Amino acid sequence: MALMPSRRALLASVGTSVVTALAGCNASETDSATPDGGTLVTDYTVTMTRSTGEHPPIVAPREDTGDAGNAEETSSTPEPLSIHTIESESGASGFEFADDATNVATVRRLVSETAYASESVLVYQTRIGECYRLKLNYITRDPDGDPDVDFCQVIRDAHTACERRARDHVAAFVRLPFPGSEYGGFSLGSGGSCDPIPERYRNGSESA
Amino acid sequence: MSRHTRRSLLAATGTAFMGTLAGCSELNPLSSEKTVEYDESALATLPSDLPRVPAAIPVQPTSAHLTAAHERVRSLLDDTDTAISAVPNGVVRHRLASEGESARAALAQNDDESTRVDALAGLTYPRSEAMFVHAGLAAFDGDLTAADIAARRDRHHRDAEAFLDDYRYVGPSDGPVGALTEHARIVGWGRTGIRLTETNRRYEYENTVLHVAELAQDIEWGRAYAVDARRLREHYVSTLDDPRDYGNRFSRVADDLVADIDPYVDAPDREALASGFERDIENTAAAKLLEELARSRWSGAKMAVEDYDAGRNALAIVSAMRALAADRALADAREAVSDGAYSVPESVDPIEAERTAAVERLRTLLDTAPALLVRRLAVYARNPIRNADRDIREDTVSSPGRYLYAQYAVANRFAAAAPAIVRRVEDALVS
Repeated sequence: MALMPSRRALLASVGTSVVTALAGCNASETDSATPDGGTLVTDYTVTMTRSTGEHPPIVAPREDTGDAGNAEETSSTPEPLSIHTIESESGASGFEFADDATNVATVRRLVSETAYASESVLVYQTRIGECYRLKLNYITRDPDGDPDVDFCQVIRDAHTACERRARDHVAAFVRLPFPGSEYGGFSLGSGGSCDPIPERYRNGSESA
Repeated sequence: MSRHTRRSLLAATGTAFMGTLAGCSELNPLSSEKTVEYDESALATLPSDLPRVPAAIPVQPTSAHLTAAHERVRSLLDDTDTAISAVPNGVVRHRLASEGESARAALAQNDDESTRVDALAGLTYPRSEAMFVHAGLAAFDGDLTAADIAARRDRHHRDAEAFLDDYRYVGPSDGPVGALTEHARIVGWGRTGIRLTETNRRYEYENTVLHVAELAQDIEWGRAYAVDARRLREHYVSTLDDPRDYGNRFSRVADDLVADIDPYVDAPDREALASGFERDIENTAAAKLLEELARSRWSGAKMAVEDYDAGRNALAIVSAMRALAADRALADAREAVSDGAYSVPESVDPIEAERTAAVERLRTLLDTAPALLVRRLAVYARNPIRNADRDIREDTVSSPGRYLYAQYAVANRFAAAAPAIVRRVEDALVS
């Protein structure tokens, strides 16, 4: 199975921590973290899978610790996947899901129907309140071509039975309209509220 | 550049400036104060009695009016507890319950005639909270949609605008001052009602039930202001034996006052404020004092011009009064700073003395005639003292020698400057 390059994993996690660290600041401060000149990505596809209880929906693959040459420090049970990119058919083949994971067929279809020569899939898995659903707010690309994916959380339908403090797991599969070879890293926003798309992207050009 | 274009530009710049003042000033490490250790126990004893500023209107809302506002909250919340508990989504259930509890808590206010107008104003938001619950449950049952709310918004917004169209400033033949203050309150409420029922607001929820609830909440908030304005005006007019129309007089007074404050609609320049002194006043109470007074002058001038341009002359007059008082206070403060005042104090004593002087000046101001005009300005002297006292009680003061000292000084200087402005406006109104 071809896992995401370690460099990209590092860049992605750095991107996440940067955005998370900025989550408490006001909009202008957050916006200023994104370089000018980016474009809005609209031609993407996203689907989600969700599981209840302790186990996340993606059973395999798990986090690549990236320290195969130092076996003594390798954890016997790698952590569940959190951020990942799929760049090829072989990379797509190793996914396994928990028994109670929802919407698995749709997720498998998105992964298998992706044309990896011109597209790639970004995977993001996280915990989420039982009464919330994850929403992909918007995607932009910076001038270097690196995607910035902004997720947010939305309160689920009022008729959905859930408890305020209970937690689920959710995984998002985002098909991007460009191959993994076109970007060296990405950033990922996972804050709470669904802020409007920044003005500079709404009035600017859109990518294919 | 046209007047409006220039003003828009200045307003935008000014907003940024205010943000700087409000959000970051207390984060400044204030190097000037680093060497001064203030006696915390002495600081803690500073807050003490503060005079209340009575309502600045001659005719209070009726008891029945206040009762109706209470009833509005109660009726919107009637039988909602059981319905809320039946909502399966725990977050939605919690939001609805929280809004309901907050609205009910507001019903415990006193029904004292002297504070009835404040009690009524205090029930505008609780009415909106109660509507949040009522509308949310209706949406949950499928009986209310965002489209229904849009129609409701249009109706209430039209009603709110219609109220201020061709507004007539009627009052007693011998009481232009009372008429001014009564109408300033009424028109102020009416203006708020229009603003809150506008459509260009951003909302928080995507959840259907909560979104309908928040839409309805905003409209109810605006409706409450507009309804209160209309009902208070009806009551006020009903008390007049021989009504007289003060429209032309208020227009003339507004012309005069707004012309005087028009130079101050520009956002204050902090560097310019701190310049012209023989000593460096950066990071001292003096700088903070001058900034606060300049900001008060700017805020009053900006609001006065906006209301004047919109034909709301009673509001323009009272806002211009604030700007003129702040301008006079600023001039006096600059003179005091030039004489060496408001540097970083070495102990709590000068801060305490400033508070004592501010409270005494506020008491003197409140004993000045005409009381109704005085009260419109007295709040700008009282609020800085109240805010500083609150910060001491909540232990959130990071720079006593600058912030507290300046807040008490703002109150002191404003209270000292107000009587002359009140006299000027009174003379203009009665002549």
